[in-house]
Amino acid sequence: MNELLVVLLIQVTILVGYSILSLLRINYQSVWLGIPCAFALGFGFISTELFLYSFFGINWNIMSMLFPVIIIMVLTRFWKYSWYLHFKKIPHIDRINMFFLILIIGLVFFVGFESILRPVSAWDGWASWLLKAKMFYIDGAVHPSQFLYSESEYPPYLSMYISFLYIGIGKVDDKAVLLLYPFFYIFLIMSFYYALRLRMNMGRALLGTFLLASTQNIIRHSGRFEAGQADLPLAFFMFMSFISLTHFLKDKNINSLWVLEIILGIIALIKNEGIPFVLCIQIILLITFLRSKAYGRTLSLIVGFIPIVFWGLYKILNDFPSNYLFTNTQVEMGRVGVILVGFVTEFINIQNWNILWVGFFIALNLVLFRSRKWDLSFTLVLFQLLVYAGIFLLTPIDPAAHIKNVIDRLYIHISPLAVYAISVTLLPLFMVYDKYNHNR
Amino acid sequence: MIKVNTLMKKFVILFITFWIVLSVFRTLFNFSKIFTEERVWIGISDEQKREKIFGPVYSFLQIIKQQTIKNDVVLMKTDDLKNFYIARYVLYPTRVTRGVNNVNPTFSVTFLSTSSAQEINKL
Repeated sequence: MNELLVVLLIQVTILVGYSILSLLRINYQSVWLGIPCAFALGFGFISTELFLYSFFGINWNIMSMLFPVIIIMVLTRFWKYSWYLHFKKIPHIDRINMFFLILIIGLVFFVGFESILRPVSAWDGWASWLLKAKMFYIDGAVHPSQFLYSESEYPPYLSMYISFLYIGIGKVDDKAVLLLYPFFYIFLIMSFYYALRLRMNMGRALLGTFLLASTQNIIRHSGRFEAGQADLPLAFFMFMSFISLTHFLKDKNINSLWVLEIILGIIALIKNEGIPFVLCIQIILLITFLRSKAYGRTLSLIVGFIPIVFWGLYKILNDFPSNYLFTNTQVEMGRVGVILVGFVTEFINIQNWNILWVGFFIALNLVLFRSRKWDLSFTLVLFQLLVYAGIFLLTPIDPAAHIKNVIDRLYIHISPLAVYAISVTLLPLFMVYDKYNHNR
Repeated sequence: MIKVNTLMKKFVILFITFWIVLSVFRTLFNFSKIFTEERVWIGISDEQKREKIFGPVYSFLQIIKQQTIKNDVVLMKTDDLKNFYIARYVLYPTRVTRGVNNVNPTFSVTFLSTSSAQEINKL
């Protein structure tokens, strides 16, 4: 029963997001992007709402939470944007494409089944993310003391959204809320397919999507054992920001920019590792504005920075302990070898990644030395990898042990972008596939 | 800049074919787990699952849960830090601490994984 309520609450979140998109007068004309984007915005809205309610001392209950949402829905007359009905006529699908489609759907059911099979079992899940969600729900508010007690200064949005699920369920059920993770998996797959479909035919887009969906580490984080952590949600939001960025660079519409900035703001409040990614995208936007002499638009970048500044101030004003990673201010260049070994060992870890990272470096080789076209996704993946390497140059913990403990989770964040980069570079060369695939 | 030659194209085709085969095989292997390694999880109760995940400390925490109330503070002595973090998660809103700085514990508990020593004392 609680599982059904979680599904219902996720639907409510999507409706909230739809209202925000309606408010911004954005219609993607595609369920593949519309639903994930609506969920991303709804997730951000609900978490922000909980935080503001807590700040102003308003009680957390499902009616008080839905009240502003209903007002927005009525004001925007969101039902006019009936995107759910924009399913096009289902095309004829070739056997080979049907095969991959069935496998993808099978994987979705598999992660869904796995997520409700066990209560939370990932260490970080119960030691940090779900502990905070439990505290927020039981205390009915967010207090700095909760962060101090949990010994974690990580941002609160994921835990707050899980608290919202607890409010909807009416009790703490750390088994039912894990169903949120297969939804992150579904939305990631949907948006990934959409992004590829803009660049290639249906067959290749399905193949690329299958290669992402069948990555073992993503499956683990979506339902098997590792569900309950923040890495898959971060990967989803990072990929959504990439799609929003490409959308904006294409249509230059100010409302597309607002969507992107809101998503960037949410990223910064999910996990600290998202902050450098946000900076990277903001720099890309800034360069774009300066090149096109659209100086006025640089002001819009403030929206994405507000949550970073707000959360930073909240931590300083409430004396949160500083992140252990940055207690050592000395960069230790002698660690480069250890870091390189740690990174490469994970790149060739077939058990976690199949041959995803080998594929990424083959694709990188082709764009660098074989005249294939450079894609923005390469920039973002390489930037983020450099940031992670930089963190290990600073960490006060033994870097070899530290890398071993966290590297598989760090790679999750950028794996959808890496598969995207591979797909747009290598799949066009996979012409033999067209013999069996006639879907265009 | 060198263009992608035929040899490189053949290598890419071979690489992607290998990736597809590997992914399909592992996907099917994942599905098979429902009938093999996951079977042990299907027939057992939620409490049994939690005991399986958290270990013997979980049953011990259930006893503490029955004896404590919301505002109690439990001072926990354990030889495995993991037990402390599990206790903190399972027992909330009852607070669990490792030291007595700035807190007045109302319970003192001991759970040693190595010697199976378990003790609950009201202070």
